Amino acid sequence: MSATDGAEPSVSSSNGQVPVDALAAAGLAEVEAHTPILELAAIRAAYGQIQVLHGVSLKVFRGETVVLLGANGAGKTTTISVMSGQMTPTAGDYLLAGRRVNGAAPDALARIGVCTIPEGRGVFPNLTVTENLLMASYGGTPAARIKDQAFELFPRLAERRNQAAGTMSGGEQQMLALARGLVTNPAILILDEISMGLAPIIVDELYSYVARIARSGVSIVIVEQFAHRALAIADRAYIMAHGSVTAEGDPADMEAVLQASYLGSGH
Amino acid sequence: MTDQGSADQRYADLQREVEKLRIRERSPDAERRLRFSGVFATGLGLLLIFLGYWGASGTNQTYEHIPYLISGGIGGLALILMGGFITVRAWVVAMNAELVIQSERQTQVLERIEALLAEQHD
Ligand SMILES: Nc1ncnc2c1ncn2[C@@H]1O[C@H](COP(=O)(O)OP(=O)(O)OP(=O)(O)O)[C@@H](O)[C@H]1O
Ligand SMILES: [Mg+2]
Repeated sequence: MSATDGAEPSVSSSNGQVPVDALAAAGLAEVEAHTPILELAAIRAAYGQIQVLHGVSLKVFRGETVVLLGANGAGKTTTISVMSGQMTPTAGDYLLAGRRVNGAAPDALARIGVCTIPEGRGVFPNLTVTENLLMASYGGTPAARIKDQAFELFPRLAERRNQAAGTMSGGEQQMLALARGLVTNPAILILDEISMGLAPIIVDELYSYVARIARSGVSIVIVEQFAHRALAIADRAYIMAHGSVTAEGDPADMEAVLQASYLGSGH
Repeated sequence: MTDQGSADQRYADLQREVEKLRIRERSPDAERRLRFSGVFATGLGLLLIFLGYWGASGTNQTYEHIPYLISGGIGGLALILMGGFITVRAWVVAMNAELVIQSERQTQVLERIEALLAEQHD
């Protein structure tokens, strides 16, 4: 696939001007469709003096669901911290829709549509479900619409709207975290180990929601240690080890790659 | 299947917003470099003045003092001024970045309070 071929102005004009319309029609649209919505290029990142990411490169195209797998300590969460703006890379490029955003603040990235659901859910335990949802609004979105949207997708949350988030089950808290991300209407949703500590049946339910979100055109990055369910809904997969990407490919092939290495597929 | 139209729309929205994004490179390196170059310029200026003094003191002919005065004295003074300016600038940049972060945090808190208040009125 050569995205740039189309960018060559195939129509020449006598006055030497670039025929913009023709160019756009013939090439730019196609090039744009091939510009990843999110790209990490040779990203390095460190905690103080300890370098953890040694040149991570990956791409997420629009509407795609990409899963990032790897053992404990491979650097998955660190990679996500770079994507969310929590960490500024020490080298490499972080691109969103083609623009370099190294050093952009996490709240700025969240506001423009990069929604991250951190490891360990991150709901406010003492606030009710409704209050947690409203925390997600950046002023503009009316409270009523936020609630309609969240409660329509997650009826279970509607039943518990006045319950303190901390008293809900792990699965329900994870749903709340998902709902809170979704009401911001993100372009990119980044999920760090949403299945952690949950019963398989709950994980299935959560992933059915994630699949639904994916169908609505949100680009999704899923980080998981237990691969099976994430691979089932992913379009593409990356495997990380020791701070680098070691494999990339079709999710169907990845199960075999994983089985051959440290992980073994999920159950 | 994925709703491609919606995916395109989300991409377009993100692209529009990301173009508007103001990014302060929060690179600690950049700030350190700026501060270092300020100190370096000041040091170089002091050295030039000393060399100028040293050169000029080697002769008592006034016409021979002039080149030393120009390159050592004036050049050195200019470098010291520049170094001071860069140092102050590094300081202002750092302080300003801190202020922006603070005010963004305050805005966020206010927005949350606003949302909660709106909720009370529903
Ligand atoms: N705050 C920190 N300070 C210092 N080192 C850290 C910090 N956070 C993570 N690390 C180190 O960075 C490496 C990568 O950690 P990271 O959390 O990215 O791994 P992970 O792939 O998400 O693992 P897990 O599957 O356990 O969540 C690990 O060696 C870890 O010890
Ligand atoms: Mg992790």
